[in-house]
Amino acid sequence: MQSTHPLGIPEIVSYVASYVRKRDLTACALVSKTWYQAFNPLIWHDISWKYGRPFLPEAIQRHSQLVRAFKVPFGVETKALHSLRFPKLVSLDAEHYELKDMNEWMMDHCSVTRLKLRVYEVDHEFWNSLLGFRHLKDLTLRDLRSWDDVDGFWQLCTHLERLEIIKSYTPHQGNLLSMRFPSIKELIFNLTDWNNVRILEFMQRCSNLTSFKYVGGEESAGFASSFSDLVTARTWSQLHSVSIWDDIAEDAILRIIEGMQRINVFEIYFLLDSFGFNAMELLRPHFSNIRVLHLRCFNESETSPMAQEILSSCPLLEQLTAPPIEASVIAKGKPWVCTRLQELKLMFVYADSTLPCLQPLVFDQLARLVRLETWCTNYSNQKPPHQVVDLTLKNGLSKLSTLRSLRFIRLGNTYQKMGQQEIDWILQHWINLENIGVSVNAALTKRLKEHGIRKWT
Amino acid sequence: MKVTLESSDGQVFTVDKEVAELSVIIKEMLVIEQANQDHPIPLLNVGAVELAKVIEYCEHHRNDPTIDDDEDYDSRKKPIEMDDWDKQFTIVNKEMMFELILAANSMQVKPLLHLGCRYAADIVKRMSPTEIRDLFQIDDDFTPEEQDKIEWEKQWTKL
Repeated sequence: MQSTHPLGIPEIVSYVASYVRKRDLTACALVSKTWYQAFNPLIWHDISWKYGRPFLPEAIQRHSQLVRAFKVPFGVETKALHSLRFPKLVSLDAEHYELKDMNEWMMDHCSVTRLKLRVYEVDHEFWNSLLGFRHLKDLTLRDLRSWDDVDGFWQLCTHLERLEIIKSYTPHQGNLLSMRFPSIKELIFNLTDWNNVRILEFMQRCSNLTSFKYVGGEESAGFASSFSDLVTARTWSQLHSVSIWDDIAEDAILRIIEGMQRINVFEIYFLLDSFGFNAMELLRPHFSNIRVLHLRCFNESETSPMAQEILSSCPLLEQLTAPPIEASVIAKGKPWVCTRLQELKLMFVYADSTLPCLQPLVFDQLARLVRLETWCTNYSNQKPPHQVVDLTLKNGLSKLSTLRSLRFIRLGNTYQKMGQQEIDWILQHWINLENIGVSVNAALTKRLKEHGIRKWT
Repeated sequence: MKVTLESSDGQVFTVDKEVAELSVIIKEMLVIEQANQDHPIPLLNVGAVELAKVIEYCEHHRNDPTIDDDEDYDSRKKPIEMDDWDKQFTIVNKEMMFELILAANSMQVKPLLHLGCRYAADIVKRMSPTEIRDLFQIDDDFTPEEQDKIEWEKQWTKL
């Protein structure tokens, strides 16, 4: 009986659908009516209005009940959006879109919990319509230059859990001093003008803050230091994640690590001096909790054994960016334990002509990272000085057959001496690969492209 | 405590109760038939070969926490954990895997059902609708008009 094939049974097909990659959804929806029923909701669940796409209001409206997340890019005609309604919308991303006269539309989408908006100026009415999103938890504002009627904003912040302010000016003080924001857990700031005092006034009122990320600049001088003082003073007892994209001195880093009771995420992008022995010493007690680490050396041409210790000591690690490391340190080091690692940005440095003998040992370590999705060998935009990886079967490629989750590989655009054999091997074992940033000859590039693997530039 | 299960072709298996209870169906039957434990529980849709394999799976996963089976599509972001044992377990031919999916579905062994569906999702990667239909012996039941309409809508949803 045909119908007893499991993949003709609706319930089973819908389970299969939940494991199919996004890019394969459309092909699956065209298989049969049963498959269409299972896959169509996933196709419309999360849609984005790509530039150059024809506007098909009938089609969109027909499936509007299925849409949970909608993204509008820059350059789309406002009127078009006005005519659409998504009764079950949860997330609206209009970050690249200036919202004007959208109050009525916003009122019709009260179910939204996550909003990303690009606005230049706001007024009383704007905050009022945002207050209409009673379930709003997560707000991102971009390009905001004028904060008129800022108290409406502070009011809104009292029920937010996450706030991100990008390329905007610091909000005015208004009635800030009389407010408290206990629900805010996560803050992300990238401000055009840094009013250190006002930002810290606001942050001190977010007593349950767990996660803070900021991108500084010329205006933010002194912020890192003041922030680290507040961390040391235990202003935020639940703070476990800190990402700092700003010049920061070692003593400020030490104060932050010391002041945190638990560390899940710790990311440092720029340094005024060294991130060294002292900081590692303080991080060590947190190794069992750490999920994301982004560390830098002051002098980037230097190598550091830091990564080997981290990879062999942090079982929960999901992302690591670390300074370059001598391949021999990895080869001789303890086994890597971070089997949950999804992203690795780390350059291996081989001393003259040691690659053929050391790389298989380095690959033995890498092969343990069975969940790895992103693998980069250059962690900054600099060109690597040496051949850092050689993806040939002769030099141990077959050891990496366990890396089935790999989606993105960037090997500093190094020229790879791969042949047909290596490409066949990759297509057979790295079935999730989407993007590969290496130089190979034109015929092989074409073959990869035929299998949906693009070149990462 | 032990329970006995009988496959569709009459073979009887004896397993620990908590192993058998990974099957929602058996768990419910055991509640209903508490007193009547003399007869093996008949599994009319599951052959001996498949049942042995299902039991092997349940033995290995007897201490796992149960998974919540919500229909929330966001659950796709956190797929079930697959350990080395599971990977070895799925190294069987396609036909066997499909039989196991059917068995897991009729016995309602949810984690095994998910494992099998994940396996099937891996197979359809990069395939065209025609290739998928041929592989799973599925009939194309769209009318040409329906087909055109979906193709037309695809302009908007394609990645």
